[in-house]
Amino acid sequence: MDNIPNDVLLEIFRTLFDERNNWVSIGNKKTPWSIATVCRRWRSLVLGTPTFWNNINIPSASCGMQSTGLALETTLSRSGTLPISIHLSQRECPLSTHAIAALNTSVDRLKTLMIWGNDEGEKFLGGFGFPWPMPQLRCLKIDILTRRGKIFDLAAYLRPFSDCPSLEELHVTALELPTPERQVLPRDVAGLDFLWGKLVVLRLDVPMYFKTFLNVLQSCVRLKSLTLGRWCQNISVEEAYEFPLVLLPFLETLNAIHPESSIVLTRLHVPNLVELTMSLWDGYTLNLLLEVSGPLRALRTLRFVDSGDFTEEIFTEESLISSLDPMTSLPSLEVVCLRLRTASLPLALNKLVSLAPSLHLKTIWLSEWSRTPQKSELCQSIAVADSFQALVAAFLGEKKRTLECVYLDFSQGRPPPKVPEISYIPEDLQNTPLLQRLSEFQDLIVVVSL
Amino acid sequence: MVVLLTSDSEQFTADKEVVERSVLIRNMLEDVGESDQPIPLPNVSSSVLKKVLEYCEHHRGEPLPAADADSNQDDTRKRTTDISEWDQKFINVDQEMLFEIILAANYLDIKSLLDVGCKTVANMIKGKTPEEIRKLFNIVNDFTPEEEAQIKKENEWAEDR
Repeated sequence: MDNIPNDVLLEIFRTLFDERNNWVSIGNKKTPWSIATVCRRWRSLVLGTPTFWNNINIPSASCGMQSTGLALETTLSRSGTLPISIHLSQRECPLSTHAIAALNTSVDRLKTLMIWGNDEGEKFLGGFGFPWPMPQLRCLKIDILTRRGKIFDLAAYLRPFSDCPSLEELHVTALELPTPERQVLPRDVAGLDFLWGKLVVLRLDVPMYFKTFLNVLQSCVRLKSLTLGRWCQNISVEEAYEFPLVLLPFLETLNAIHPESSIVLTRLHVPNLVELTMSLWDGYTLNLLLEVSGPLRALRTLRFVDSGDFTEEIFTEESLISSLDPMTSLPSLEVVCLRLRTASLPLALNKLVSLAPSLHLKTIWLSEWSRTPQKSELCQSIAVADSFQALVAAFLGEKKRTLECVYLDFSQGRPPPKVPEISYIPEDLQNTPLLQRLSEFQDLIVVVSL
Repeated sequence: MVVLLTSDSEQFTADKEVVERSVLIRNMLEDVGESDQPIPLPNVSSSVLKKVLEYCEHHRGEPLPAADADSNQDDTRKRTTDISEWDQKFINVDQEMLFEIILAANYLDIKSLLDVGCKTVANMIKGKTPEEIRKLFNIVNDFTPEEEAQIKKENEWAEDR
C-alpha cells in the first residue's frame, strides 16, 4: 500500500465516496470521515481534497444536535472555496443554532439546496435568517410533508429565496398527499416576488389554484423543462377553457404522468416540445397537446409510464387507442420508451405493431425497475418476448428498416445515457426469452443498462 | 506482433491490438513506428506483465475509454464498486500482486484495469473501521498523541451508522 501513488490512492477513495453519491454525511463515520483517521498520509490526502467535503448531507436525526454545528463547521472549512450543495432533512426538529450559524457563513457558496421538511412553512425556514443573498444558488429543491386541513402557503417557502439571481432550477413538492379529497388548501401566491422569469427547470407539485398556476407558468418565459404534479385544482375542461393559453416557446421537456395534470395541458402552447412523458392511462394528454400546439414537429421522444394511481388495473383497448393512435401524427417521432407493468406490456406492444406502418421509430426503450434483471418479468415473460419480437420485426422488415437500437433499462430511473453505438448484453441475460428473441435480428443494437 | 521486455529481462510477444490497450505502449508504437526491437517496461516484472496481458487479451476489441472521459463526466459520473464476474476472478490474487497490478496499470495507462484494481481495494476498505483498515493493509498509525486527541474530538459527534 505504501507504494501506491497518491493519485491512485485518491482514485480508490473517490470510488468509495461515489458509492455514497458524493455526499458527505453529518452524523456518521463513513467515507470520507473514516478514511481520514487511518494515518497521516491518508488524512492529508482526504483533507486536501475539497471535493470530498462540498456536498453535505444533514440527516434528520442530526438536525437538532448541538454537535452538528461543529461537524458542519469542519466540513464547510474543508470544502475550501468550492460551491457547496446541502441536503437538509429537518422533519423531526429544526437545525441547531450553531449549525445555522455555520451554514450562514457559507450561504454565498450555495449552489444546490435540497430541503426536506414539515409543513410549518415559516418556522421551517425562518430560523435561517433568510433571505440572504445567494448569488451562486442554481438549484432549489423543497419537499414538504403536508397534513390534511392545513392551508398550504407556497410563498412561505419561496420568500426566503427571493435574492437568488442565478436560480435556474426549482422543484417544490408537497408529499403524502391526501388525494383525491384536496383537503390541503392553497393560499394564493399572487404578488410573490420570485424569479420565475429566470427558471429553466420547474417542478411545482403543490396545492395551487388553477389560475395561480397558469400565472406562474405565464411568467416562466425561459422554461425548458416542466414537470406537472397532482395538485392542480380540480376544475372542469369547460372552466379551464375560459383561461388564456400559456405560451412556453422554449419548452423542450414536459413530464405529465399524473392524470390530474391533463387539465393544465388544455392551456399549454408548447410548439417546440422535444420530449414528452405521459401516463398511458391518460389517453387525452397527447390529443390535448396536439389540439393546442399543432403537430409538435420537434417532438422526438415519447415516454409512457404507468401512473402509480392505477397499479391494480391493466390497460383497456380503448385507453391504448386514445393514447397511442395520435403518435402517427408526430412527424419527427424517433424514440418510444415504455415503463409499464408486464401484464400491460404485450397489449401496448401489439398496439404499436399495428401502428408500425405509420411510424419511423429508430429506438425503442423498455424499462423496468428491477435489481435482478435476470429474474425480471420483462426478461422472463414469454408474452412480452413474443410481442416485442413482433414489434422489432415490424420495423426491420423488407419494406421498413428504421429501427437501429433497442434499449433495456433496469437502472432504477437514473437519467438515460446517450445510446451507445455497440450492443451490450450481460452474460447472465443472454439466455432469457427476451434477449434470445432479440439476438435473431442482425444489425440491431441491443443495449442493457443496469 | 509486439515484443515487450520486462524489468527481470523476460520477453513477451503479443498482438498489437492487445498491447495497445495500454496508452503508454500505443504512444510508444506510434513514436517509433514498425520495429523488431523489444519495448522496455522497466517498471513491470514478468509475473505482473503476464497477468496484465491476460487481462488485455480477455478485453480485446472492447471500446477504449475516451482520453477526456473523466473531465467530461466529473459532475454526473457515478463510480460504483461493481466488478464483472470475469474481472473478479482475474483480480482474485494476493494483496502484493493486487498492488503490483494496480501500479502496472497506472504506469502502462490501462484505465479499465486500474479501475478494476481501485474498485477491488475500495471493496476491501468498505465497511471497515480505521483500525481494521490499518490491520488489513499493514498501515502504521503514525498520528501523534496530540493529533489523536484532535481527531477524537472532531469525531465525537459521529455515530457508527
